[in-house]
Amino acid sequence: MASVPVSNSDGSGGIVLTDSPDVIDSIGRPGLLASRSGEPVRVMVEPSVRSDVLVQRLGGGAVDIPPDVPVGAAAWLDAATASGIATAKVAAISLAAELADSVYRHRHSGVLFQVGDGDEPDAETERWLRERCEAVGPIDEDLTAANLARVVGVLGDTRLVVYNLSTYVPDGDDIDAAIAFGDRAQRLDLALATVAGEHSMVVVDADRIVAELGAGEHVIAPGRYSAEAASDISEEAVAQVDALGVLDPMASELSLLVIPRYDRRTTAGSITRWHKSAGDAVDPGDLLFDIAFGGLASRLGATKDVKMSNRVMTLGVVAAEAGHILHIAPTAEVSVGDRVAVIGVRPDLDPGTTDELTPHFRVGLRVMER
Amino acid sequence: MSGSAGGGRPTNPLSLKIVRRMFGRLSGPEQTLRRVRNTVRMQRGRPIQRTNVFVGNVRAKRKVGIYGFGGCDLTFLTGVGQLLQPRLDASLCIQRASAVHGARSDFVLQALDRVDGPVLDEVVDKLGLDPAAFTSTLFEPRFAVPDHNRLGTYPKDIVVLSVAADLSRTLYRHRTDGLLVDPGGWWLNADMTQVLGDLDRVKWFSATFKKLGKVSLDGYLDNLTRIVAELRSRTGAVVVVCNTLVVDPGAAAVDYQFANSPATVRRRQFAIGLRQTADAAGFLVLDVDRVTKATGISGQADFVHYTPDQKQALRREFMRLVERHTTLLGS
Repeated sequence: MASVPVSNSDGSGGIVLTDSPDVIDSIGRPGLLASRSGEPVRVMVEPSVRSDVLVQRLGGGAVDIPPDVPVGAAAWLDAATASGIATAKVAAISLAAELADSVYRHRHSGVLFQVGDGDEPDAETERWLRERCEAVGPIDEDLTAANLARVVGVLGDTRLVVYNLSTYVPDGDDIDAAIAFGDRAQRLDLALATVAGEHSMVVVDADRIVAELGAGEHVIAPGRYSAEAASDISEEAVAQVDALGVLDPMASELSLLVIPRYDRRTTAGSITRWHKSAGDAVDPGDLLFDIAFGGLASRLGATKDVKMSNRVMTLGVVAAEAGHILHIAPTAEVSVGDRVAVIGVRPDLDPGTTDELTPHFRVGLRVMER
Repeated sequence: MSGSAGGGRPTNPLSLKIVRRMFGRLSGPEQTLRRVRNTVRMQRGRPIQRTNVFVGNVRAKRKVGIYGFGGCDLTFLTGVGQLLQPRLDASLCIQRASAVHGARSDFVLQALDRVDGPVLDEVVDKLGLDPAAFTSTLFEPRFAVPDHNRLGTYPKDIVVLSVAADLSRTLYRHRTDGLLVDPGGWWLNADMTQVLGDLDRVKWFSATFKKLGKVSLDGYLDNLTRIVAELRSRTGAVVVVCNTLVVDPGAAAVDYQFANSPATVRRRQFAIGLRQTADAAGFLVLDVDRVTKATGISGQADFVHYTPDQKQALRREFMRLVERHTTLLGS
């Protein structure tokens, strides 16, 4: 997080992330977005706030900051009233913000603000909170859904990416509290899924991704996941941001063809056939190569009396854009993420000039045989 | 017993493998061998454990019964016997009855409200359905051990239901009689060349029945409330209702249409509805969603078929409910 530029004033043309742990630990990892783009990506981080505060923040500057705000509360009011989200290409927020119960309303002005986690107000600020403000209390899921719909409406061309919540938290010694949290997260996830079906937004399904790995081992706290889970979440989140077209990978003349992931069972396989050779031109829809994934027994192990240990699924990797194949790696045994070819916008480019920032060539997958 | 440690699927003995090789799976000789084998095991005081039945400590006078009513998602239940029987000074019988196509709540309630008649006989005959599916077996206070009538009957101390059938099954209503039918048994299990070859039956079904579609959440919760009330008054059982995993396991990472996946939305709605109704209606929720997610869902074929590890975790969660909410193990 430290190496990510921080700003809360202007997100023009960039990607704005809110500093919720699930967002920052995944898509906010330094260099991650840049590695998928051929040009620098402007990434800004804003404080994560609850949706009612976010709606106010996006209200177009109509918020009057009360004159009696003590120094200790200035940052809270600033976070509640200024945002670069409205001018960004993409904004990523998390439902984890909805769990906050530290939202207050200034009685005289009606301004909402959120006290940051772990903030210890000084005596003056505490007195101001007590005398001039009132706690708003937990937010209702229906209001969360309504707020998200309003945010989408305000944002216009800015695409909203929302992380849902794993409904699992470790129970420790209090299973009742863990189950109660699960119910709350379940209602929030449902509210998000419902509003996402009616309004244009992208959902990062952290609930499913963490469950695939085993939430018992990979959920640390609400909205906070293990490094492995964060990596898987980032993979999906970046792919979704990529799919929005904001990373513009073809701004680079070279791109890398890597082994795509089909699902979480298919981690390693064999390239059984190349349909293209080095020097060939590629058009969208062209079949590039076939890859066979084996070892799928565990997926179907729950099915009665079916032994699938020799089960193989063959997928065809299909080009999603045009280019020229410059180089093909000679290896057949591959893992997800391995680089198997270099593709250029022209046939006369040097394939040896790729580096860590070289974008990935976009592909699709077609099930050939299962 | 011949079984995997921890209540997993029992391994087949050599004699069974030989019979299967000679006569094929589920042949008459195989079933005879199973009955004989189970009888011998019981006489030696060992428990029987099959997919749908567990019986242990048959010489004990006190009897404890757990009755599951639902589809494949309840197959973890009989494995509870391995955990519970050693802690009971009683003979424990756990049975999973019905199948997913006989367990939708409005279909279950139908058995309480209507009597047999000529229409039922015709429907059962033409659709090849099990007549028992139309009886009120679920609401009877005791149940017998299949193939072992001499063991007598067991009380329904705990009845376990599942939301799965109401999530997924579609019912049909007889246009004149009003009889509800889930023809899953016929369509799913019959040889399709036989089904499609008998077009008269297909036309008869189309002309005689009207599709009801899936049950609404409110409809389900109303039905469940009544089922639980009837069960508690008729059997005195503690009622446990299982939700299901709400997300789709193995969903392709290239599929981002989460918002366009109403099945997951429906499952979340039902999971929430169950929790909100439980206290007032008087049932316990076994939170399958939480348990399967904690264990890891990548090995699941779909949202109601669980891996051995998940089933074992579900058994432990069931035991937690037994310890906390029943008097089976003493106060």
